[in-house]
Amino acid sequence: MNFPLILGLDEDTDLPEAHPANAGLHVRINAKNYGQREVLRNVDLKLRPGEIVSITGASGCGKSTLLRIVAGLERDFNGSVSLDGERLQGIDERVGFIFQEPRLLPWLNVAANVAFSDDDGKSQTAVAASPHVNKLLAEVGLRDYAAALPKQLSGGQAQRVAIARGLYRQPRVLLLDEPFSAVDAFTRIKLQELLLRLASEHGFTVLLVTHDVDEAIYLSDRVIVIGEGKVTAEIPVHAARPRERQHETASTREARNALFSALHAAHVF
Amino acid sequence: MSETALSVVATSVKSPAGTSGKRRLSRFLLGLALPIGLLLLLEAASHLGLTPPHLLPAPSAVFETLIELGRSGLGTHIFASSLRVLLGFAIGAGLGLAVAISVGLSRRLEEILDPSFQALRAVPSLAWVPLLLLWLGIDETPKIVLIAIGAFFPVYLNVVSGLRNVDRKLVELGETYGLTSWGLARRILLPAALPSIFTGLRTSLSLAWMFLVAAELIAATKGLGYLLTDGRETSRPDIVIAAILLLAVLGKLSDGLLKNIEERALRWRDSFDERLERKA
Repeated sequence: MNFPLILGLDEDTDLPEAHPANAGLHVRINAKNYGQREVLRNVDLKLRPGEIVSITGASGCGKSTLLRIVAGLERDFNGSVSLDGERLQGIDERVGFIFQEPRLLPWLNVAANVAFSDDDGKSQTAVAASPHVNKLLAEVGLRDYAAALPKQLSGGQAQRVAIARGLYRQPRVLLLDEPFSAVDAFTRIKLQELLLRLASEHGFTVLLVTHDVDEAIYLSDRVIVIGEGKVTAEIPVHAARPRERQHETASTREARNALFSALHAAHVF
Repeated sequence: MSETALSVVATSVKSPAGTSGKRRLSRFLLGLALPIGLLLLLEAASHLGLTPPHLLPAPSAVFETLIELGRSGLGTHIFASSLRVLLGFAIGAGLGLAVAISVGLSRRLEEILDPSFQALRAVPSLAWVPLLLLWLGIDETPKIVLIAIGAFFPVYLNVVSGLRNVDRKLVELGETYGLTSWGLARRILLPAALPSIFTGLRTSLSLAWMFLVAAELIAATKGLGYLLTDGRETSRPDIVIAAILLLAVLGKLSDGLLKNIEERALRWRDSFDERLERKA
């Protein structure tokens, strides 16, 4: 497969100098139905390059469907997904997807899991020596784990491998479906910091589904609330990064209150 | 964090290899205790005249018979039987694997083929014997075909169910990477079904030995099944028991070989069995 082995080398040459009006991710869903049931309607989301946006709402409100549409897994809907003005047709390697569980393939070592999208028939040992894989593993804090098997990892480590796998193709957009909900609270904090660091270093756009209000406020530039298939609120979080977990500022408090009101109005609880 | 975690990885990789030699020996000795004890008991009983020698000869007598047989062509019997099992198993399990993979990967093929195979499976395999004898005579071919029929179904059933039960989440992962259906089969479904493939192969192999005896009891001039018949007809329980013992040894050896391959191929598995192994 031909793609640059060294991160960020021709990123700049691909991109126009300044962000044009249509730069970033644009999701437009007029309607998405499962049979007779309408799951999403009138969703119009624009994400600037590098922006971090959380989606929250009750279970079954259509959040995951929205993510699957952006990932190209659901193609039967009325609307469009475009990246920098170019319409995406189905699965696209510029869009990475990270699940709630790591979903590592237990028979492959860590390196081969990271390089899963690269089906070039190399042996697992050869993949474990690949500089690109090792750079990614170092970035997620798992240097020297290339040859380990998934069964030897903790839940948090496995999710780090899943993140490295999601970044292997250097995506412009990273989609995460409740990525940290299955790990303990301290691991969750570590993984959140990891995501923020990677997002700022690589500059990808993040669209994250979460049920955790603190997580949404801490990570996001904007929180979208979905209720019964449509966007019911959009709450900006005006706080500079790095943000502090231990001190709430006026702006994060304001965003948190607005989010709770919006969730309440959407009958989430 | 990463340093301590690293040493955990290092030790958990190393420890099974380091202790396995000692563990294997002690497990081997433990497993040997029951049969050896039983043999000693039988030997004592027969010397004390507690067991009728024309029905249950002493273990030492059976051992003598084995040596005597060894001088008079036991090798050809073992070779004949092993070759039949090998050929029958290879054909039956090979076909079972091929058909199961096609059926497991295609709903349409499953709809066409599976009902027929389920019906054929319901036929007690010995019911095939008269037909095989009529069609194929009494030489090697019907024996190997019978063994192949016996070896076919366990592989078929296990592999189809293994492919059907692959974690939906892993399949979805493959979809997010845009795998084609062949890519999905090769990179996710087949590796995930590997444990079921081995279960099927091992069951098939033990059935192959069973069908070998059935085939050789009916019509054979050599083989362990022939020894069984010969021993009964000449009222020699020592020969019958010797043949049974040889079947046990051959069955265990061939299964051990397959189990060894299985353990190597499934080293990645994080199962209850392996946790026990690591603790012990």
